[in-house]
Amino acid sequence: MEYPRTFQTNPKVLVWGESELASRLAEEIGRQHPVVWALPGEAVEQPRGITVLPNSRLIEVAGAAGCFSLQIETSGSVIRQEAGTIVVVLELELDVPAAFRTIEEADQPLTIVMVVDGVRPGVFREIAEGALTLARRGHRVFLIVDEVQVGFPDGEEIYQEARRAGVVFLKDTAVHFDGGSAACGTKQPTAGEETPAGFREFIGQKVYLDCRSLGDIGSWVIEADRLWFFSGDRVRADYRQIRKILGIAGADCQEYYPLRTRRKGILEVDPGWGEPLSPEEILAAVKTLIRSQAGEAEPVCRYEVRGELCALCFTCYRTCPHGAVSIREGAENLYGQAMFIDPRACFNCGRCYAECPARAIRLHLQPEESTKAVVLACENSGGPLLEGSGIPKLLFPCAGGIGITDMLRAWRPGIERLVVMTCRDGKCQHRDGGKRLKLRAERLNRLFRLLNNPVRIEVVQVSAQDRADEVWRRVSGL
Amino acid sequence: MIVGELKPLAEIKNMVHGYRRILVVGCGGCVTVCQTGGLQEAETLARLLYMDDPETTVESLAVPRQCEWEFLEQLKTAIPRYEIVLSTACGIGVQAMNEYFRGIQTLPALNTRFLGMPVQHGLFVERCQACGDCMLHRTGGICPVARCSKNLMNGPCGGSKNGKCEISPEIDCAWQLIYERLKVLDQLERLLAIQPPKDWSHARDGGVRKMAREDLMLDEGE
Repeated sequence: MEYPRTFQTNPKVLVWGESELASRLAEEIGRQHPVVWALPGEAVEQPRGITVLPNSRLIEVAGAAGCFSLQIETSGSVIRQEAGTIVVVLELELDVPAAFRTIEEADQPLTIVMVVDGVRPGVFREIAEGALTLARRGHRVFLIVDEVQVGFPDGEEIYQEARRAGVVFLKDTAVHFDGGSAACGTKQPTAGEETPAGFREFIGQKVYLDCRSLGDIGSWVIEADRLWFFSGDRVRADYRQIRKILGIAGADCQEYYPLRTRRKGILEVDPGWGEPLSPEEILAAVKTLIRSQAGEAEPVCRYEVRGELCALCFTCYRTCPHGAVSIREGAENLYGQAMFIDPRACFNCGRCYAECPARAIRLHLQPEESTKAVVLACENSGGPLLEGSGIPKLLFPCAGGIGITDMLRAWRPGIERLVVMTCRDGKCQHRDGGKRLKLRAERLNRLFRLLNNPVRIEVVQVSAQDRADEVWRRVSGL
Repeated sequence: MIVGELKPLAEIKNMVHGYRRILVVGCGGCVTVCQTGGLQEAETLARLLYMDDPETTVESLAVPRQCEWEFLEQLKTAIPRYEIVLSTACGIGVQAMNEYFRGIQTLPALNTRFLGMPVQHGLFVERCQACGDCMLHRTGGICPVARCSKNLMNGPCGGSKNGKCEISPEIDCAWQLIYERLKVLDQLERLLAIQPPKDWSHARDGGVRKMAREDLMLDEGE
């Protein structure tokens, strides 16, 4: 089966969204590209020169950047639509200011507790600013957070200012509830339900849930006081469904937001992420990204399925975080079909290679091979950090692509500790590559224990900002 | 597909104890798909055994299907270099290896568990017991032989509760599933027909089973 090396890119752009911004994007992009604008309702205005698909619902998407093929139900009939790029303008349903308004008129100081779990930076910013305002008015404000976020303009200043004004930031792992830590973050409250006893002690008062004002977000009333509960990204349900169909749900990577997703060719305008951009900034950025994508017509993909070995087990197809794997006819195997990694969508995360049970996926351009490597790492962060350390290493395009057999092959008699370097939790750009790597290491360690073998695989999490000498110490186990 | 599961490593280690040259043979069929016996797992096992005793030579390879003589023939030159073979195929592959390579013993590295399918990635569930007399057309496509813990043929027992089997709350009651499926198919009247005792002579209890397509069989010496 011949692997294609060059690709045709469809210049058509599909814009999905109902807001004014979506309409403007469709119109502006339409000046340079053929545009299809799909929206769930009726279009208020009809931008000139573009195809409008009102009352649309996305059914499925196939293909990759440059050659997407979408099935769309529009005004009652199902059509197929081809596009090279997809731009989704999300709608959010969390209105933070409205949540705060209900207590703005309080005439006595309140104790206000907010549980802020899994929200996007833009939402976190609104909450932190709201907390600051409340604290300045004399209220006692506690913010229980999964992570203090400052990764937006003035983030650090807002955080410090809120602390100075008396807002208490508590990491959810530091707050223990009877039902385990961060219990309220994982459980959606129901009206009238009493909060866990441990939490009551923390507040010092009896707490009841009340979901009146915030719908499924839920607010907890502490007698006269209040407890807010902000959870999840609160993308509107129909847009959550679109994200799922497009394969971009859960594949977030902060670095690329609010526009680029971890699926090539799909851009997402996300008003909940970071500093709200002006429509002009978004327009400019989207146009730049569409242009740069056209320049990626000859992408570099370092993994390739050897069709003759492919067992069609669907491991790569199901686990690829970027929707880059599909079935292709014409393979020289029992089935006449094999999995195919589309270079236009591949990010070289290597998960397919690491998990293929038939070892049917080849890694091209094998990097620096060391015969005595005790450290397996990626080329982007682990490799550069080890530069000059003299520590023998074996480098992969991404640590999430280090397979069990790669770890085992690195072992030499006398070695009792093999180190796999990976990104910190939550920083994986390939959804859960780090977590999958950890599971592989844990499985191997379990097998070693069963054999009373002292060898252990140690997963060391690093970030490119770490101090090299510190990393060397951790890696060499000193 | 045939679903196999790696034997406890201590058991495998005991089996190969004393052998210095070991070949682990994977199979590219069902056990590759169920992630326990393909080339990746064969190599993993080989390397674990080697690490356990680096004085031992343990190597690995795989054939597309261990249950075909022609594929086994491809191993002809490799096999004599080893003292013992470990197969990560199902029980059929292990027996085929023993039958084909008379001069060397092939040991099973897997326990062959059942005939099933991956209902989700990484989770394999039994679907068929190869009873030899399929009745899926009468039960809405849900097999009471494989999926009812008691192999009941005429509806659920008294242990069916909230759609679950009394054996475990994790196991669906097959007859509940059959009822729901027949309802969707508008064939609920099928449940009123009493099934006579099943003919189990086609199943396991009739001794080794054979299936012949005489029109396809080749003449001796051909």
